[in-house]
Amino acid sequence: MKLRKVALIVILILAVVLVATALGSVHIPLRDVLGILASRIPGLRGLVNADWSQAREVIVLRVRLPRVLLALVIGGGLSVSGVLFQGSLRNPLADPYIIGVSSGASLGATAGLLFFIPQGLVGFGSLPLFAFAGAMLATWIVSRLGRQRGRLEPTTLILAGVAVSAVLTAMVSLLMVLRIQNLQDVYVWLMGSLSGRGWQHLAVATPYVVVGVVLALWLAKDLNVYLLGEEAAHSLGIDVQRLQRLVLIIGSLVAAACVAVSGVIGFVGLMVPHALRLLVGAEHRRLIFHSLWVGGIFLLVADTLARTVLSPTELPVGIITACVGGPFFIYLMKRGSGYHGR
Amino acid sequence: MKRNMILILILLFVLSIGVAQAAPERIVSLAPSVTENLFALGVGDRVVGVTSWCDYPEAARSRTVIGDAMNLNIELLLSLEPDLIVGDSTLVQSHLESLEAFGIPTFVIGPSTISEVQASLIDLGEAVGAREKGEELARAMQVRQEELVLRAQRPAKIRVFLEIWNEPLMTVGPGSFMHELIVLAGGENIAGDSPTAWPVFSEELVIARDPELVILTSFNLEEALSRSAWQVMTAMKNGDVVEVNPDLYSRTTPRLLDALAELIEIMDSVGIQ
Amino acid sequence: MVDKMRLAGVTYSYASGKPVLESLDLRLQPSLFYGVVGPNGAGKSTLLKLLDAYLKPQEGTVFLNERPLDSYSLPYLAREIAMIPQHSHYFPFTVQEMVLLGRTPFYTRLGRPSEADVEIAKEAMEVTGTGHLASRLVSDLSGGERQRVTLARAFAQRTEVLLLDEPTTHLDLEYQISTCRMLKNRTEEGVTIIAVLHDLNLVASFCDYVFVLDKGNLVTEGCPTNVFTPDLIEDVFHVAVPRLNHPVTGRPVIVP
Repeated sequence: MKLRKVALIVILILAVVLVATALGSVHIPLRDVLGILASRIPGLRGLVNADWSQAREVIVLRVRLPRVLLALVIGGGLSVSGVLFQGSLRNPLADPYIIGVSSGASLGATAGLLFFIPQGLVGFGSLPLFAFAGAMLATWIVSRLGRQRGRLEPTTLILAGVAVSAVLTAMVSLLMVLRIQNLQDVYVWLMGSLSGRGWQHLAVATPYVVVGVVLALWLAKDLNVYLLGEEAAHSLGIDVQRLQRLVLIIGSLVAAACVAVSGVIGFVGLMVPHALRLLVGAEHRRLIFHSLWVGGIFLLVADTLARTVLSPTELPVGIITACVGGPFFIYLMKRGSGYHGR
Repeated sequence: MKRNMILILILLFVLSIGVAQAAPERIVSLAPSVTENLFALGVGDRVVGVTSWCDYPEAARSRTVIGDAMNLNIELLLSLEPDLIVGDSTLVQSHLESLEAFGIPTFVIGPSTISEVQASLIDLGEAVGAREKGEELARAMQVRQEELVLRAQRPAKIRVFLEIWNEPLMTVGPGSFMHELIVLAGGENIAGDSPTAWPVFSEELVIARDPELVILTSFNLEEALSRSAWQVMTAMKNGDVVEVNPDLYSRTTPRLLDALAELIEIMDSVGIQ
Repeated sequence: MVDKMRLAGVTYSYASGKPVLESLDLRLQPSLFYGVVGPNGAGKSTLLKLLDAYLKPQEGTVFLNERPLDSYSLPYLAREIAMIPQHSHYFPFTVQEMVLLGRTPFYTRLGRPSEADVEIAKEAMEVTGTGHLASRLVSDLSGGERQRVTLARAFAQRTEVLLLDEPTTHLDLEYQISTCRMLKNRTEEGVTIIAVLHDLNLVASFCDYVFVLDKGNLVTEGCPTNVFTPDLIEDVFHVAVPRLNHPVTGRPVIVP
């Protein structure tokens, strides 16, 4: 990866972050935004004249900035998770939710919201834990069902995922019918959004995504070979079962951490890796790297649109990702693969 | 003597400053009922933010809209620099916690009976520095309620079915305002043995329990009248199927008693051809 | 002469219970081109998978260089044995990337292909006639071209044993022949080749030795001239065909 290219990408990310932080329902002049951001950087503090209101500073630093960074993290995390699932299931239509992460997280979150949190047993801050636990439990069930003759079989896994997701989703609906009291909390969570997410959410999701991405890059070489097929991969020295298990675990952990924090945001984990594969090919190191930053920026742009287009109302970010991503994806498909190597 | 007077005056002065500091100056309301009550308590001019549903009184519409209880625009809310936020039971838990994280005092009231509404007026009054007015409003509600109930004395309770929604068939049970109003107005809610406040009800049971009055809340009179299975009901045969505006029946404000008055009037004309 | 690979009393059944291969004894000498033939369901693919250590026999042992296969580590085996399975998956890799994958057993964990690896890959592409396709996407190629690319990948792996499961199915006659010639040339460089082939004439023309399998048993083995008798073909394949001798090479020619 050429250093110049990486530098350009970093500059692009910083620029988008800056623009996104400057936009919102409340008009804050760019000058103030820059000043507020600069005042937090130790070296630059003395250079700025702090003449903005307290409210503006709170909005920029505690409402917008964490949300912008979270969008990058979750967009990147979901995309890389999508790459891992598409690779290990050898299916370009797989997404991070396919083996039960979203339905499990929804059930966990719903159970928490309807039973544990209202009782005051635990605080609202523990909601991501419920969602995460639900996601990992569902994934474990699916992986047990997805075994045939002791081996993890992609097709069986996918079928098991579909079946388990259907059951868990039905259970969520059942819970909602039986306990109507806190329904609004459940709806809001299920819709998937970054609204109201702050630094503590960022702190929860980021470690998983970072570790997950590093491990994914480490396994990228093996994944390339794995794509050739199980027998071929075996003859090239890959322990196929171990690789499948590792990739699924890492992919699930990253996806579960993202869903736990933001609810179920669809489309990103499916479309970004797929589109990038058409643009840069299937070589996994390249694919993972590009999915990470493209996915992050994609979700950031979508979320920024979601909170500014119809201000003061916020649209659920999933609508934007589908409306913007869908047509672009169709265009890419029609054009055919643009990747022709070097 | 003079020195005592001066001391008392100084004390009163200090106290009044204290009281003035305690009363919030910039209030944001997160529910239509709350807005209505704030204005009724006489602090409407201190309300700076309202939801998109806050339409009563008229003056409320001119305040800054910050979304609604489910979909809250935190940026706008923060930019108003509120010193008190008041919400009701529709306020989503996650928003409540983020508001607390920003350190803005938040007050939640969630009455589910008429007497709780009265108590909430006093509590809200206390929170905004208008406790006396709150007590006044509560007393007025009590008096009016007793008057209305007296008027509603009937020889026999009227069997009432109140339909919230028809697909699925949803009605009201104990724990909801509408149920309480029906009972106060001299009616018997045929769904009164339901375990929850918003039960999904069986159509067969409605027909079996044969209500004398059917109240609709989703403006579907024509559709309801055309239900073939329902034609055997006493209410249908006597033409006692009425539509009401549900908004009035769920406002946790003094106007709730307007709903009671309307309900009594409707029930008074049941059975009369 | 030390056997390159050996099967001793190998029995394998899939989960369903019925043995696919029963008490198989086989010896493979180095530098020979072996053909494996038999009707469908005879267990030919299973044999290759056992040789590749992809499957483990329920009974018996598979030996490589006189040591049991399971005493070797997977990465070591990857440098000794290469396999081309019957069905391959194709993703948007370029031909060069795909062939380079054959060098994977030789990289370090963080390693990238070295200059030498790239050279070896290029050579493998030249040998298989796919050099001109280097920057094309594998998913855009025809079936025959893909198969040659897969062959190039296996050649790039530079192993001493090469297992192939039906390597000539999609190829034109020209490439069927040139592939078999290539494989034969490879044996002259010391590689042991075991190929499952459906076309008996190809086996007859190019293979040094044939194993005939039927219903999990080794029916017979030997050089093609001795093995391909009309009686055998009738027993195993249930067709009566005449057998001629090739006018030039003297090898058997089976005429349908």
